[in-house]
Amino acid sequence: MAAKKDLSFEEALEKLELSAEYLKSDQVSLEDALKSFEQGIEYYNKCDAILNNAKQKIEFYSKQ
Amino acid sequence: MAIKPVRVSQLNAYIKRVLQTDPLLGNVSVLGEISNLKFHGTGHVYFTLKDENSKINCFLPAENFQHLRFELADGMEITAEGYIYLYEKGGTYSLNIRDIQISGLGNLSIAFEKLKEKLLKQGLFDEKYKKPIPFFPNKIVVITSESGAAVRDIIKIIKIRNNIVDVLVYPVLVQGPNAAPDIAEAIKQVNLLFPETDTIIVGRGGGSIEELWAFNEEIVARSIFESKIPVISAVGHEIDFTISDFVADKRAETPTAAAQIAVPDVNELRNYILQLKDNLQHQIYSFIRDKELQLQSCNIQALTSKLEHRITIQKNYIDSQYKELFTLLNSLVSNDKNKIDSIKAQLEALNPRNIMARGYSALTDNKGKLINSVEALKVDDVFKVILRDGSIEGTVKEIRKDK
Repeated sequence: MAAKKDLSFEEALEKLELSAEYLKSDQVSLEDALKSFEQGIEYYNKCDAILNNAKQKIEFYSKQ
Repeated sequence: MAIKPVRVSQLNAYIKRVLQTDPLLGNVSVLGEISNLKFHGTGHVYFTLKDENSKINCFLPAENFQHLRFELADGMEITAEGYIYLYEKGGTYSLNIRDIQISGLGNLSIAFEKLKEKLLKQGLFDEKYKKPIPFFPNKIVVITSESGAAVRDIIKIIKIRNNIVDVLVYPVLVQGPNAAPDIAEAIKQVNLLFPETDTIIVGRGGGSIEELWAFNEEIVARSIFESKIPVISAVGHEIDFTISDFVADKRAETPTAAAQIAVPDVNELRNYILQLKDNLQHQIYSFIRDKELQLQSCNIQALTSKLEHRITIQKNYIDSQYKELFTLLNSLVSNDKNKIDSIKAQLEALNPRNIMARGYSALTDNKGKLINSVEALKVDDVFKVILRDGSIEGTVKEIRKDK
């Protein structure tokens, strides 16, 4: 399952936090744990990609 | 020589003409203190302007009152600028005001408190209207002077912390009588033209209370309140509180602080997500290790010995049940045997042959029926005597009955 392309940083970060949290609980099957781990890594990659996408524009608006 | 008498209205009309054609009275500036302030339903404002010795009625028409940059209050020292007007019907005159100036910390503080109280009552500062400031904005608009220190500070801090967010500086006047409408209009325009904006920072660097006054004007407060986009106000220094601060979604102590609130530090976020990733890896590792341990505790050997143990227990149980059954059966059988033996003994005791062995014999009639009375037989009846080792037949010769 690929992380959605249009995920915002906040959403991806929240999912990443949730994945880490989910693995801490006892009531998880191995399959679910592995799935959650893989998703977590995908969300990490998504966050990382956003943080490395430095396309900052600093502009002054001029009223016509 | 006496002047011909005139009517009251003629006199008042004359006075009016004299007063209202006087060049000085047509444009005066008067210093005084406000008292008896009254706001009429029509929007017009009436009050008395006084000094130690004297007072004058003042009239401030609604349209001029609208343009004032501050609230009015009794006790306020003002400079009222206007012209003298005579009310013919009442024969009274008043100062009709075009504009009012105030100065000095005391008067400005009074105006500030008045507006604060008014907007507080109207709910403009309520917590329930405060919008959260987006955590990871894509676009920030800074409404301030393009030549001030504030814009330089804000851009500097944003560049240090974050190389992702777009910044648009929307230049406005930040002091003087035109600043407030300019700022209010700018907030409206940003909401219209750039609705995708995550956060607006509005503010300026430090200055005197007069220089910061635009941020204490109602028009600015209202436009901040009506903004759909969250607003951070950043006016002057830590100690400067303005009406804008109270109505904004967030107050920053300085423009620098506003930049820190508005954008996250990308390096910190990088470290944070790395830490989360490490956590994740650590978690899955220890998760798998736990499962391995669980598996080890469920190995075949353990299972076998567990099963064997259970079988042994069951076997022992069956054995003990079997033994118990056996014991029960034995005791039942031996009970019966005892019974049979005692009955046999009793029977043995009653066996007539045993009696015959001691010399007794039994007498029967010819049908084999035991005779136990002399009445049973008559003379010439045939009888049989049964002894231990055989029998004797005979015929009755005589019967003697015992008395």
